[in-house]
Parts: sequence; C-alpha cells; structure tokens
Amino acid sequence: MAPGEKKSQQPRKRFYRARAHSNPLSDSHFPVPISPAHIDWSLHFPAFFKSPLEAESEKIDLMHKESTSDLEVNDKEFSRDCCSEECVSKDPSLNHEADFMENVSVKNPSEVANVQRGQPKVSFADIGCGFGGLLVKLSPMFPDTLMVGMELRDKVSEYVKDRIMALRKENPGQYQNISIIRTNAMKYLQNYFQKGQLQKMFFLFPDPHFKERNHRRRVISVALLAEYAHVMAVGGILYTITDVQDLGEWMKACLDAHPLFEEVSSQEQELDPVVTLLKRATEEGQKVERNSGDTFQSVYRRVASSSAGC
Amino acid sequence: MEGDDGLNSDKVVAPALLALHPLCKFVVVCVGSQLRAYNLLGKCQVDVKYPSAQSRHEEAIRTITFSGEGKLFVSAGDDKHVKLWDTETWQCTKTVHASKKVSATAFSCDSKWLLYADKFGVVYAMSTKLQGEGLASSVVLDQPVNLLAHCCSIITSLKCTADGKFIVTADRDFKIRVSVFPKDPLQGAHEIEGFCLGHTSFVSCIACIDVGLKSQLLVSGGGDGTVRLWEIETATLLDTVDVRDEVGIADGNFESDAVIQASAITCVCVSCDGSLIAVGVESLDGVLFLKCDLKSKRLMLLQKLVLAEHFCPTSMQFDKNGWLWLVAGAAQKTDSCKENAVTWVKVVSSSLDDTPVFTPVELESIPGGSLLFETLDGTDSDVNKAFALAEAATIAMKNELSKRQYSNEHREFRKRLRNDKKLQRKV
Ligand SMILES: C[S@@+](CC[C@H](N)C(=O)[O-])C[C@H]1O[C@@H](n2cnc3c(N)ncnc32)[C@H](O)[C@@H]1O
Repeated sequence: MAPGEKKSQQPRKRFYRARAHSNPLSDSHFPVPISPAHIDWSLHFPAFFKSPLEAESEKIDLMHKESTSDLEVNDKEFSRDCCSEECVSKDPSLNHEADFMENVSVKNPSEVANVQRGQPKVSFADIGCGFGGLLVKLSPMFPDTLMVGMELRDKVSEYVKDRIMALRKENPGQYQNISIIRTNAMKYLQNYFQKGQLQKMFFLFPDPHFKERNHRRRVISVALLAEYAHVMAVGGILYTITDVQDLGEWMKACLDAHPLFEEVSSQEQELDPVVTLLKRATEEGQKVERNSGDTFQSVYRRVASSSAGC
Repeated sequence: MEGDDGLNSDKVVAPALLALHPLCKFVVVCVGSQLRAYNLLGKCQVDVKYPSAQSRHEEAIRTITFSGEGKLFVSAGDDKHVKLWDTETWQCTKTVHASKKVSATAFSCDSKWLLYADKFGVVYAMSTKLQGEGLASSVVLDQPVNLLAHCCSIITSLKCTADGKFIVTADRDFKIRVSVFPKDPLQGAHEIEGFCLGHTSFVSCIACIDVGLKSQLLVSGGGDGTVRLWEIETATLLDTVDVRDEVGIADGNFESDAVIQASAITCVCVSCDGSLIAVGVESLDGVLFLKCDLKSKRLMLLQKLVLAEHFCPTSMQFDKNGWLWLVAGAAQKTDSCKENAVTWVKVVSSSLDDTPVFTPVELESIPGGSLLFETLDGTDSDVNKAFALAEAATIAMKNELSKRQYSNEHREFRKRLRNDKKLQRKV
C-alpha cells in the first residue's frame, strides 16, 4: 500500500475480479478516440487542465456553447473529478467502433487542441498496468509529470480508477497526475499519443503467452516496437521486466533487433531511480518477490534513426 | 443456398478489379480466379501463360498492380499465391506462397521490390529479380521478408510513394500508416513517419497523388462515406468530403436512411495530373468526380456521372490520356464449384478543363472496339447480375471490415456466462 492509502477508502480487489486474460487480438468494444487531438485530457487531469467547457464559458460565446452541449454534464463536479473511461465514453468525439455515425455531433478537435496548446502532455505510459501499483509509486516522485496506465481488462481498469479517485480524495492536491485508460495498447496507442510524446514507457510483467502460436499476442514484438518508438521521444526510456525467462529473452531480442532502441548501460540504470521500482512497485512484482522468483529486465533508450540503420 | 438472383449466400463474393498499364499498353480485368488481359497497342487478346495448368489462381484474385514503368505485373488473393508476371511475354515468372490470404500489393518505385500485405496485417517484401539475374544468393533473396505489421488488422490497401520515400498502408482499424521506405527492405521498415487519423470507420482504399509536388498527397476513402485528402509526410488531414451528403442530394432523397447507411467508399483513383479524383460508392450507380485543387489542397465535388442504370463500379483507373476505365462486377463460386463471374467494362473521357465534361467513349474510339469488351467482359455481362453481384461483394467487404455489432442484450447475456461474473455472485 502506498503512503496515504487508507484501508477504509480503498476499493477492494475482490469486487473487481476479472478474467485472468483477455485476448489482445480480438475485436474490442470500448470507445476509442479518433485521434489524440480528440481527447479531452481535462477529464483525466482536472487539476492540470482547463476543461473545454470552462475555457468556453470564459469566452461567453453562447453560440459555441450550444454546439458543444453534448459535453455538458449536469453534475459538473462529477465529470471533473473522475479520471475514468466512463467520462471519456461520454465524450461524443469518441468513436464507438462501428456504430459511430454522424448523428453523434463531433467535438471539434481543433477546439480541444487550442485549449490544450501549451498545456502539459502525458509523458509516461504504463502498458498493461494491472492494478496500478507503479502509477501510485511514480505519482509523488514526478508530481509535475502526467502519466497514464493502459489496461485491457475493464474490471481491472475500473479498480485502478476507483483507487486513484480514493487517493485523490484522501490526499487533497495529490495523485492528480495519474490516470487510467481502458484500451488495447497494442492496437490503439496512436489514438492517444502524438509522435514523440512519451518520455517513458513501462511493460512490467506482461502476459507471457507461452505457446508459440500465441506469440503474436505478446505486447513486445519487433513490429510493435516500431509503434512504440513512434510515440516515444528520442532519448525516452522503455522499461520491461518479467519473471518468465523465455519472455525476458524474447523482449531483449526484439529490442536488440530494432534499430530505434539501444540498451541503457548498467551504470546509467543504477542512477535511474525508476529502475529500482520495476521489481516491486507492481502487484505482479510483489507476487514474484514473495515467491522469491527470478526476474529479467531490459531497459532501452529510444534513439534517433541513423541514416545507415533504417 | 442459391437465391432467385443466382447468388449463393454461403460463398465468398469478390469484386472485379481493373488495372491499366502505365503507358496504356495493356488493360487487365480480374474477376474471381480469372485474369483477362487485352493488348491496347496490338488490339488483341493477351494469352496469359501460367507455368502449368495447376499453377493458375484457384481462388478469387483480390489485388492486381503494374509496376511503375510497366514491365512487371502482380496478381494475388484468397489462394495465398502471389504471382509475378513479365508483361513483355505475359509469363508468370515467380509464384510465392504467402501464409495468409493476400489483400494488397505494390511495387517499390524502382520496381526492385514487390510488397504484399495479408489479412493478418503483415506486409512482406521480396526482390523482383529472377534467379540468375546476378543474384549471389537467390535462395535467400527469394524468400519474402517481414517488412512491417499492423497489429492484427486487415490491410486494405498498400502503396509506395513515387518519390521512393514512404510506404503507405491502410487498415480496417480506421488507420493509415506512413512508414519510411527502408534503405534495405530485407532489414524491415522500422521507422514510422506518421499516422493519418480521421476516418471513423474502416479505410477501404487509398491513392497517391504523384505529380512531383514538394509534399506528396494522398486520397483515402472509407466505410464512413468520406473521401479525405492528406499530406503524407506530416500525416495532416487537409480536407474531407462527405460523400453521403452528395449522393443524397444528387438523388434528391437525402432523408432516406438507406442512402445514409449504405455509402461506404469502394474505390478511389486519381488522374495522372492529380487534378481529378473518381470515387466509387456503395450502391451508387455511377461515379462521383471530385476536383483536387493542388494549390489550395482542397477537394470539391464536381459531378455525379451515371453511366447506365445499375452500373455500380467496383474498380477503376485513369489512363495517361485522361480516360477513366471502370469495371463493375464480381464473382462467386457456385455449389458445383464453377465460377459465376460477371463483369461490365466502361470507358469515360474527360475534357481536361477547369470544369471538365465527362462523356462515355464511343465504341469506335476504343482500340479494338468490341473485341476489347469481348475479352474483358468474358461471356457474361448481364447488367442486373453484375449489379447484384457487385452489391453482394460490397456487403461482403463491409461485413469483413466492420466491427461486429453486439446488441446490449447480447452483451449482457455474454457477460452472465463469464466466469468472473459467476465468481462475483458467489462472493
Ligand atoms: C500480468 S499483468 C501485469 C500487470 C502489472 N503491470 C503488474 O506488474 O502488476 C498484465 C496486464 O496487461 C494487461 N494487458 C494485456 N494485453 C494488453 C493490451 N494489449 N493492452 C492493455 N493491457 C493489456 C492484462 O489485462 C494484464 O492486466
């Protein structure tokens, strides 16, 4: 439990029981934003962003207000307080998969972009964040950095949402910089982040998918690394750790094979305060530690493309 | 089961395809497993030579393309065979066995590489050189290599830009990806330039505007009924035309829900000077012409051209003289495993003015006249059948590319069956 987490307020995991696995390759049925410009981050980080609504009312532009009325939620506090997918899914600009039709009024992405220009951007992403232990640890370490967890299983992401909400409530002014998105990060990363946006990406104890025919489901592959490299800033760091040796070797081999990633030296890793978190910040990590299992970690830097390389 | 219209609801339907040689030497129509080629200069049918009778395409051909200078041609599709052709002799010089059904193909701008994409979102590259053509280790080079992948999404269209800089791939997950064309394709394409995001449904087709502009442009059409114009290098959306409005207004039945829902873009093509874009729309009998203003980088609707009742094009291409070649039709296997293939080819000329006028080309002006149509249309070009089959092909495409829709009840029902829910009830 993180400091500031009181037992009484915390959501209890047993009410969020989820299936052990979700197939990341099957069709999904949650809303996905059309592009990063369509996301209203103020719903995730109200302390950091003006919501388009607030910016709007400052302008006192009634005509405009009319056109964005879809966004108006009666209980404004509610919408501002939660960092949830629920709020996100109320966002009319999100595509509800195939049933996205023009009868849903699209929020003008340029409006959101205007409001959010010059505002902070999410720069850490924890992929397959599970119950969110890493985010909770990172939050006080980097209080001015926005970070999101991405989780495919809806129950688990709901747990993380409730956990963050409880933390914010119990610790006014804190934990405002972390949030959770329920999505398939293998498919929809580009819908959330712009090119070069992320400084850190985490892949902690990803599902191993042992069987060879299921290797395509692994969250790290040479092909997917191209997409991760795309959303990462040059110089950004990608962290992976696993207790499955075969998967550890696989992830290292993929990273070595990719020209846009380069291993971070062990001296440098020692100086990085985040590296020490990999083993025990998350629920999965703690489980492995309790069983005193081995871990295999790889820490790589996103490098610029050398004209020779690619 | 075969219905009144001769359609078999259980069997795959594949739309007819058309490709023109860049120098107008040949025109090729593919329908089902059949490949029909016509020599426009010699005004005669081309005898396409498979190495043996067994090496013909066995299933529907889904993609055909000429290389940039026209020396090579590729055909591929549901039988997972990628066939490379020498257009000098129309010999099939190479057959590659893909591991999945092939959905799109392209040649690199220097014709040295053949790229093909499969239904699992993987793009492969292979050398177009033949054994003995100065290849040191032809065995190795003959193996297609994994170039890039969209995570488990069907790739609907694949292009290489004429400047050699980029590979553009479109998929069913609303995405268009721009990848840097690698120095050595055998090492893979690891660098992504950008993603063109904006379509709100599957992207069905893309076409490059290769007219030597400083920044190359791309047109795309989607299941959302829009045609979009992009700048490739920056992945910027420049303009969007919602064809649903246009189709509706032109028909005077804008109110009709049927029009609004059934309007996926099926094909787009760009004239050689980049100024004209022809668009095929689901169940629209005719073509929509858009003007592409290369200075302001905007699209404008010019006109809807109805060629004939029930002529609903499935594939089209402009030739270098500004003629638009269109085919409408599709093929389906019958219960007895014969092929029910219907095609209907038409040619339209456009005056290349500021406000072009489009007119169907007279039979006399077409090289070879009726022989051309006999060759390309085969024996069956029944209008109504072509229409019914083309419709069925579009619906098949939509079904494959759209996300399955579950009603709320269905979703709740599935949830109740899930183990985690059962557990929770016990708690
Ligand atoms: C073994 S858990 C590890 C969770 C957490 N990182 C930890 O260390 O405790 C892996 C998590 O990744 C999630 N996941 C798997 N594939 C995913 C995907 N494509 N996108 C987002 N989450 C995914 C799973 O639902 C699961 O919660």
